[in-house]
Parts: sequence; C-alpha cells; structure tokens
Amino acid sequence: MTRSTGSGRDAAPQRTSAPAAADGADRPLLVVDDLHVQFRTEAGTAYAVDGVSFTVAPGEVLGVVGESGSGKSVTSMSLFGLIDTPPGKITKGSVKLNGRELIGAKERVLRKVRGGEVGVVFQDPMTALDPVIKVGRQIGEAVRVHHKVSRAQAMQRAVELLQQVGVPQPEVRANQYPHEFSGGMRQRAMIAMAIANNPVLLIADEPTTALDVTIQAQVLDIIRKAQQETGAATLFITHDLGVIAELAERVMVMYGGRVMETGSVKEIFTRPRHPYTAGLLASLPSLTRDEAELTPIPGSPPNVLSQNPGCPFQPRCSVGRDRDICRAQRPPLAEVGPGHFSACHFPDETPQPRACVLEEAAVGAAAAPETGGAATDLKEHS
Amino acid sequence: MGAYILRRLGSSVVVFFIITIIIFTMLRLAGDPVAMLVPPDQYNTGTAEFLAQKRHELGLDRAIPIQYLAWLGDVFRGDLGNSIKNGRPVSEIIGERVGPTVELIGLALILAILIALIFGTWAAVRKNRTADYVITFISMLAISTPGFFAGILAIYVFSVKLGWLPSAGMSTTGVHSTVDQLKHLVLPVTVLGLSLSAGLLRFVRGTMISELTADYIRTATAKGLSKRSTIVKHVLRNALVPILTYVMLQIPLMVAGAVLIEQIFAWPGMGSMIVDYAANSDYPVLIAVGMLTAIVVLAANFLADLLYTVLDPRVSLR
Amino acid sequence: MAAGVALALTTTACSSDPTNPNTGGNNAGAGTTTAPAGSGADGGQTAASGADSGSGAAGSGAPGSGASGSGAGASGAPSSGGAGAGAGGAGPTGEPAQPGQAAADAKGTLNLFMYQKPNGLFNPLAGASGPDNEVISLMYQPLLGTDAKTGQLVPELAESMPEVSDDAKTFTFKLKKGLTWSDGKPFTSKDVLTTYQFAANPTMENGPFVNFTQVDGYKDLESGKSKTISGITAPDDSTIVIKLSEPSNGLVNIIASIRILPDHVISKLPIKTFTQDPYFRAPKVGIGPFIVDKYDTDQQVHLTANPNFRYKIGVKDVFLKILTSDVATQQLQTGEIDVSNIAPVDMETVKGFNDVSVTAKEAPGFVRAVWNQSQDRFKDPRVKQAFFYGVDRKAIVEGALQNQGVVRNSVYGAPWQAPDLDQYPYDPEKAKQLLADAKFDTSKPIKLSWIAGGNPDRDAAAQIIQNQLKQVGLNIQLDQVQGSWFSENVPKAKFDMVIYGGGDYTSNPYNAIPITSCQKPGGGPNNGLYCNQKYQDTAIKADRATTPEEAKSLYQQASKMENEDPSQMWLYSPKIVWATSGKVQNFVPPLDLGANWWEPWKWTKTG
Repeated sequence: MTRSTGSGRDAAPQRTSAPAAADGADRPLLVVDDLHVQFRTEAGTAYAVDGVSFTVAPGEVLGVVGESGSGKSVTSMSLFGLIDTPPGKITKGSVKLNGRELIGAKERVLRKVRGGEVGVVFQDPMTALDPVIKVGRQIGEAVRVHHKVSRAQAMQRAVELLQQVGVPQPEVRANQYPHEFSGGMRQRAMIAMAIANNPVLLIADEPTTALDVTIQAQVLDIIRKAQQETGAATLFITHDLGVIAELAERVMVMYGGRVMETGSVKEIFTRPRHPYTAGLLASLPSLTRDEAELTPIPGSPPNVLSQNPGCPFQPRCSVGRDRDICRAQRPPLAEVGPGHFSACHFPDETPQPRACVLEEAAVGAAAAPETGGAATDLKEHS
Repeated sequence: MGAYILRRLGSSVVVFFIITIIIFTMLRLAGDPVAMLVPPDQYNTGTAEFLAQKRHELGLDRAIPIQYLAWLGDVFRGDLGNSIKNGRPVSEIIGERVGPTVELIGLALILAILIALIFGTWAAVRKNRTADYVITFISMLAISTPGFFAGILAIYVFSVKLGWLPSAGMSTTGVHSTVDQLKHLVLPVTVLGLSLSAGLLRFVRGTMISELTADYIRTATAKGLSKRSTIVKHVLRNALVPILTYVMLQIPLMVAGAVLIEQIFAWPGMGSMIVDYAANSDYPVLIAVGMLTAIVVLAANFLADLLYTVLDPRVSLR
Repeated sequence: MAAGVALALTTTACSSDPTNPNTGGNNAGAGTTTAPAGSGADGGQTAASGADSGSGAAGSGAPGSGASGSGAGASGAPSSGGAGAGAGGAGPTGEPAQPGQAAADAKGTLNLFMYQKPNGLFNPLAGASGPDNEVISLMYQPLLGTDAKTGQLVPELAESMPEVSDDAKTFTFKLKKGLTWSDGKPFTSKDVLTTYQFAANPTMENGPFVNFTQVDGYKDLESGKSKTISGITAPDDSTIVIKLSEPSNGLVNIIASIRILPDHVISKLPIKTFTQDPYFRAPKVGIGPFIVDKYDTDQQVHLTANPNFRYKIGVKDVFLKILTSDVATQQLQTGEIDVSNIAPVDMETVKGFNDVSVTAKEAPGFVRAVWNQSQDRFKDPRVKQAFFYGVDRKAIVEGALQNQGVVRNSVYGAPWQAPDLDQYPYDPEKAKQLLADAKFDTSKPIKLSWIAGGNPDRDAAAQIIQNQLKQVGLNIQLDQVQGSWFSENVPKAKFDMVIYGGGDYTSNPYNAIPITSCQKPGGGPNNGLYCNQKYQDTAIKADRATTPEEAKSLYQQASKMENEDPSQMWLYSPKIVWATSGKVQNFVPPLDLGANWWEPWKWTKTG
C-alpha cells in the first residue's frame, strides 16, 4: 500500500473541522461541528458520539449509514434535544440551524424548532404513535403546537396531509386509531405529521427498518415525494446501503461514534476512500453473480465505553491492522477529493469494490413492484 | 356492545348467586342468634320451648336450602327481613348506615386518587432522584402502617395532644354546623385516604414510568410539545386506563378498610354496623350486607372492564 | 319448689340486662320478654367495661347482666304499715321547682357514654336492654326506685313505701300529689293503673305479664273472661292498690319498679304490638327530668330538660353517646365526653388525665362456676367446699381485674348475709383433705365450659381454676364454647361445670331464690340443679316474713345454710370503673351499666 500524499496529515490538528457542503449552496442549512454525546451507564460512560461534524445543504438528502452502535441515531436525535438528558449529555460541540446555535439554547427555542423547522419520522410507527388518540388528532397536534388554529382546522389539515402522503379515504382514516392502520399506513401518517408545518429539515430515523420489504419501497417513495414537494433537506439514517443508493445524494458513513467517510453517493459507492466503507460495500450480496459465501468484515464493533485514542476501525482494518499510527493517532476527517472526506491515515490504500456494485445495491433496494421507477431514479443519480 | 353487556350481566348473576349461597350457608353454620337471646341464668321451663318457638318463627328450623330460597324470594319482593336482635327492618338499618360510609369512602377515595396521581407522577418523572426516593419511602411507610394504628396515632396527636380536631363521631353533640361536620371529617378521611393512596401511588408511579419511556413521548417532543403538555395530554391519558381500572377494583376492598377506621373514629357507617351485628350472628342483616357487597364487587369488576374497553381503543369487546 | 315464688322481672330495673323473666315452675311459657336485644347470653360479657374486647361486646348485653332482677331490690321486706317498712329511706330529693320552671336555670350540655347501641325503643314495658334503659330512666319514673348508693328500694313517684296488709297480700301505695307530665297534664293514679293493666295483659307480645300471674284476677284476664286485671285498683286519684293471690313482698317490689307511662298517650296504642310500637322511638311525654328529643341511630340520643319536672334541673341537654370504650376513654381526654365507664386496665392512665376523677363501683353481677349437681360426685358439700378452698379467688381479682372486683362467698348480700360466713380462703391442703374425706374420684376428668373471648377476666379465671385445682389433684379440662352451647346443653344438664356471669342478688335477696330452688333440668334458672330443701324452706319463709327483722333473720339463716352447702362456686363480682370530668358535679355512678341513673336532675356542668 502506498501512502498517498494529500493535505498535510501528519501535522493535522486533533480537532476535526466541519467540511463544507458539497453542492452549490454557500449557506448550509445545518452545520454540526465536533459534536460529543456521552451516556452515563451502569458499566461506565458510553461515548456514543465522539466528535462528529457534517453539514447539510438546503434541500439536500444526506444519508447516514452505519451499523448498530455506530452512533448514527444518537447523532441525529441529539441535534434537537431528543435524547433523554438524565443518562445522556452533550458534552461538546455546536449545532447551527440556519446560523442559529442550538446547543445550550433555551428549551423554549428548541421547542419552536422541533416540529416547526424540523420534522422527525421515527423507526417504529406503531409505538411512535399514541395508541389512545385518533391519528388525525395527533397529526393536528403537530400543527396546533406551532400555529393558533382550531381543532377543526387542525383536523382539516390532517386530512389534507394524509391525502398528500397517499392514505386512501383520509377523512375516515383521520378518525381512526393507530392500531387500525397497517404498518405502511402508520408510517405515512408519521410522515404526514413530520411535514405538517413545512419543515426545512426532515430527519428520518430508519423509517423503513420496521416495515416489510414490499412496503419499504412505498414508504421511501412517499418520503422522497414529500421531500421534493416541501423542498426540505433530509437527514436519512439507515443501516441499509441499498436505501442510501436509492434515495440519498450524499452519504456519511459512521463507525464507533465517529464519521469515517463523507461524500456523494456516486463517489462513495464507486471510489470509496475508507477501508470500512469498502468493507461495507464488499459485504453486499450480489444479485447478479453467484457467490458461495458472503464477505463480512471480520471482527466485532468497538466498545463505546472507552475513547479510542486512535482509529476505531483499526482492529478490523486490513489496511491499518498492523500500523502503529492507526492504533495511536486518531485520523482527522480530511478532504480526499472535491466534497469527499475521509478519516483515514491511508485513504488511497482502500480496497476498491467491483464495478457494478452501485447498480446492484440500488437494484437490491428496489426489489419491489416499483422496480422500474427506482432503477430509473438510480440512473438519474449516477 | 349490547351483547357484551348481556353476557357479562348473565355471568355476574350466576356468580352473585354462588356468592350469596356460600355466605348464607356459612352464616347458618357459624353462630346461633336465637341462643343469644336468653342469658344463661334465665333458663327456665319455658326457655327451650321459647327458643324453639323463636326459631320456628324466624324459619331457622327449616333446611338451609329452603331457607335460602325463602330469603331469595323475599329479596326479590324487596323485603330484606328484620334484624333478629332488635326487630328493625334490615333495609332501614342499612339505609341509615350507607350514607356515612359512602361519604367517608368517597372523600377518602378522591383524596387518595389526587395524592396518588400527583405524587406518583412526580416520582415517576423524577425517577431515581431525590424526590422519587422521598416519595417512595413515604409511601412504603404508609403501606406498612396499618390503618388503625395510623388512626389512633392521628387522634392522639391532633385531637388529644394538640386539640385541633375532634376525636370521633360525625358531629359534636348538639351542634349543627357544617364547619363542625367538616372538622369531624378531616381525620378519618385523611387517615383512610392516605392509607388508600399508598398502594395506588406505587401503581401510578409504575404505570407512569412505563408510559414515560414509551416511544410516543419522543414523537410528542419531536413535535415540539413541552414536557408538561406531553404528560398531561399523552401520558396521563394512556396511564389513566390501567389506573382507573385499578381504582375500580380497589373500591370493594376499601369497604373493608373502612371498617377499622369507622370503629376507631366511631363513624356510624356500614363498617361498624357489620361488626356489631356480626357479633350477634344476626343473619338477616349479615346476609343482606353480604349480598350488597357481592353486588358492589361484581358491579365494580364489570364497570372496570367496561371502562377499559371504553378508554382504550385497542381493546375491543370481543 | 319454686311454687309460689315467682317471677321475675321485666327489665326496667337496674340491672343491666334484659332479661328474661324466670319462671318458676308454673308459669312457664316462655315468658319472656324476649330478651331481646341486648342480651346476649351473658356468657359473654364483661362487667367491667362496656366494651373491651373489641366491639361493643359480643352479644350485647350488658355486662354483668342477664340480670334478673334489677333493682327491684330491696328488702323483700315489706313496707310500712303492717309489715315492714321501707327499707330504703327517703328516696331521691331535689329543689322543688315552680310549675313549668324546672328547666329555667338549666344550662350546659352533658355528654354521657352509652356502652352499647340501644334498640331504639324507649319503652319501659319492652324487653329492655341496658342501653335503652339509660334513656328510659331519664324520661320515666316508677313508684319505687332504687337508691344507687345502697341498692335499696326507695319511693319515687310513690309518696312512701307501701302499706302492707297483715297477710302480706295487699299493698297500698300513696302517690305524690301535684305532679304533671311534661306536656302539662296531671299525673294521677289512672296513669299507674293503665300502665299496670297494659303490663299485665298476656296478649301483649313480649310483654312483662309474667310478673302479674300472682296478682288477683290474672286468671280471668288470661282466659279472656275479663278485660282488665281485678287485683290492681285505683280507689282515688292518688292511690293504687295491688292485691296478690299469694303473699310475696319481692313480687310487689318488682311490679312497683315498672316505670309509669302516661295514660293519655298509651291508652290509644294497640296492646298486642305495644312493645314494638314506633311511638317509643321518639317518645315525647314523660315525667322524668329529661325528655327524648332525637335519637340519631347508633350515634347518640339527645334529651332535653323537662320544664314540668318537679325539681329544678341542672343541665339543659343530655347526650348519650354510643361509642366503643376505647373511643370514650380517649374522648375523656379531649373533653368530648364528660362521664364514661372505663376498663380496669385503663384506670391508671385515666387517673392521669387532667381534671378527671375515677371511682370504682361494685356491680351486682356474679361471675360463678356452676357444678352440675345432677351428677352424684358434685352432691357432697365437702367436694364443693374443696373447690372453694382450692382456688385463690383473690388472686384472680387482683390479676385479671386489676383488683377492681370483689370476691363472693354467698349469693346473699348484706344485710341478709350471716355475719359469720365461711370466707373460704385459699387453702389447697384443706381442699385435698376434703376431697379425700369425701372419697372423690379424682381420676375422672371434669370439663369446665365457658364462652371464651368475651370477658378477659373469665378467660383468666378458667385458666387459674384449672391450674390451681390440678395442685389438689383435680383434672379439669377446659372447654371453650359458643353461645348456642348454653341453650343446647345447660337445660338438659349435659355438662360438668360452666362459668358465666350475670344476676343481681345483693340488692334483692328475693332474686336468689329461683336460682337455688330445687328443680328439674330446664325447669328454671337453677342451672346447677342444686337442691337443699331445708335451705329453700327457710328462704321462702323469709320472703313471706311480715317484719323486716324477721326477714333479715331468716335470710341470714338461709345464707348460712347455703354457705355450708354451696349452690354454685361463687367467684367474684367485677367492679365498674367510672370516670367523670371535673366539670361535672353531682354525678353518682349507677348500680350497674344500664341501670337507673340517680337523681339526674342534680347533674350540673360548669365550663
């Protein structure tokens, strides 16, 4: 493996800086800078988010990918204070929405942001909805918290929203309870709730994980439509690379509470610059080729109870396994190409994936009736 | 819904009969009210005959099943019989006592619910912090303190030592003021209410804790609701379901708890009535009370189930 | 036999409980006034407290009662005139009041403890109960009352003790003049006549007619030949004459103890259901110092001073509060109750209360263990004496009653008790000796039965008796029973020994006769089936004596005979402890719980 040059990494500062947004917008919507979130547990302090920085441009879809425990959910939840602060705590960092600092902001301010400028779609719609209150009312509540409207008006808006997200017979449905909705429909209702006040940012935390594959595609579709219709930026968290390929413009790969690589979907999928990303891509099953076995990444996820001084992926990394610098020094998130950042000491030694993995990934994700459409989108992406 | 009610009523009726048969039989086997009528140093030639005569008059010499059917027949005609001890109609005796008991239990229940809801929620919200520890500790104390002890202690402190409140009864002799009656209500209602609240508080706390960690809380917060709004609009509404049903099921038990309190505070309610008449094995009164209690228990259970289906849309009447 | 000795009482009298008239042999008939309410098989109560053992006492009944007799005590001695005189003395007195002005200076509210729930029928002719009697004795008065201090009969509505004919069959009472009922109508002999006529009428359900069977003309009344009883007449407005068909001083005293009701009220009421008549739930016309205002069921009875009473009344309102004795004791401290009886164990504590005084008063009830003398082994007087010597009864009183009790050695009280009676001090050696002399078979066990749980002192007594008699070689087996056991076994003589209480013999020696007269099982109240003819004849002669001295002498002789050949194993009489607030003056403890109050018009309350 050769060492590539690139920006002076040896003298790189410990602190990672927020990478600039890739596309056109010079005024990023969301800027997260060196975010640290810890949890007090019985076993000790868990460093769930350990210095994460990224930006989201207005209208952009940023996919956040990583395995369980990578810190992807905690990151997005903590942006707007959606984590429980007795065990959890934001110890460091800054989060700016439209230039306004949110860390340390008064609760009153945060409440305005939540549901207003930012809408959230959660993972499990059955438990995310209040089982004893009618769906229409819950959607309407999202509106009433931020606007002075009557119950009836809010209900009206709820019906509109339900229509917008493709729920048939929205007037009837609005008066039903969550348990009377199917899984897919509940998620649509959640989406309706999230976009009720025309937010500028949508956070979707693994919205399709709890749904079965056939419904997944529908829901993704809705999200995409909603995002397009409202022009909102989207922070899409998932562990499913296929979905990222399907929906996102840019992707951020996380591991061990840190960002490993950030870049456009095309770049990341075709020319990854981080061994972890490469490993993820390599482990995708191929639809087109015959494979005897899958190729997992050897080893297991890191223990978040300790702050690793070096690279968290190091023990499992084919590139850095035996390298002291990887073990001892934390690689800063540095630019390795236009809008492409990687936290690796030897990004150029990253094993490259086989050629059609991008297509395969997308095809895999879209294995549903809408295959045709998805594939088309995919082509648009590439 | 109608079919459900009918079915429940049907099964309740069957249970009612079984309960009354059991109580009826047990009473008949337990003591002899007629023998109580004549003190031993008064026996004379006539006594045996007199007692036999009395037994015959009261129908106590017939077989138990026949007595039961006769009693049932009377009840359906609205006749609850007369006390063996003093000849007064049972319905009158019970009628006089129901009011004070309902007043006592009703107010105590309201107090208990308020305390349990407020402090139980507070403890749940501040789980494992100081407030929670203090509240939990106090409620454990309350659960372990027997009601009668608390009552006696309260009387000792507030009535005897401090002289702030009257020690017993519903009113001061000869005084007919509402303030006086309120003063007499304070201690018994508080003591009963506090002891009732303890178990309820722990239940509320538990329910609230499980509701507070529910996912829909996060959704509400994500929508921008304040913590207080979330608790009131969502948590309470969800917690209310198990809490209310729990309360309904506790109501019949409260009558039993009230017995001790009524004795201590000389409260002329059903509790103290039961004790007096039970000492005399006064069948007509006791079986009527047993019947009433069975009805209350069955009704409370029925209402609890109904309440559950009404409050929780996920539960259907099937 | 019990012939000639008749009956008993009808409650009213002072003794606590009701009672069932005893019928001596002849009358039978269940005679009872249904003991109703209130009486519970005396087997189960405590004399000392109204409540104790938790609830208002099992079975109600007043403690120590079961009484027979009650107050009518007095010397069986005949009164003025031909025979004897008034034992007793002058009777209750007071400051005469101007008509209608009796309550003019009455002030304050007196709160008294009522130890049990009353039946709520304040009717002197009803099978009363002690608690109801507390109310009745405030509202109505009899011709002869009982002095609470001496237990002797004294004139109340009567001017003086009756004049007795030489043959002790005719008794003439002169009534006090100028008295009025609380509604202003005058009190005359018509009221007395009507009351007695009603009382004598056998058609009255549960009425006290049993006491009138020895009155002239009863048979005609019973058979329906006559509507009234000819033996009771009122020759003028203030005279009443009672004629008996058999001489008996004791009987007339019982009749004269019946409280008088107003003719103008009761003559309108039906006789048959008289004892249950709803009028008596809140009777409005009486002659006593207080009239019932309201009875709050099971809470309290409220009475107010009667402005037409003959003496000045000190207190304006009287409340008889129904409480358990613990609550009453605590209310003594807070001042919510002025007078209460307390359990002996609480004596020391209550003595420590501010401004409360405590007095212990002997109650008439006797706790005794009765041998079944139809069993040959219990017939020998030496055996019975051995029981007395073998048990330290003083220790029982000290231990189980905190010394609030009196050991009994005779059913007769002073002055009818011979002065040289054997006191049977505790002497186990002597007991052993007597048993040996009598060749008592100690191998056969003796079952000692009693109703446990109602009276702690009796529970303790049973244990002590068993332990101590074991020392003298007797094998006593304890047998706890229920109330119904009595009626099933005692009248059939199916027992060895049984403990119970009740009775009232000391104030009226006459009351001792039915329980010590030979009888068949179930034929009377002599549960132990004691039979000593010589003794019995002496006692009956005493009742028929024509002078008080003669009566006294004869009763004393009888008592000596009974002392040597005991009819029952007399144990003790518990005392009743009364606690009175310092704010109350002139309160005299009655003879027993539920017995008549003494001079209640003199009660005053300050502060």
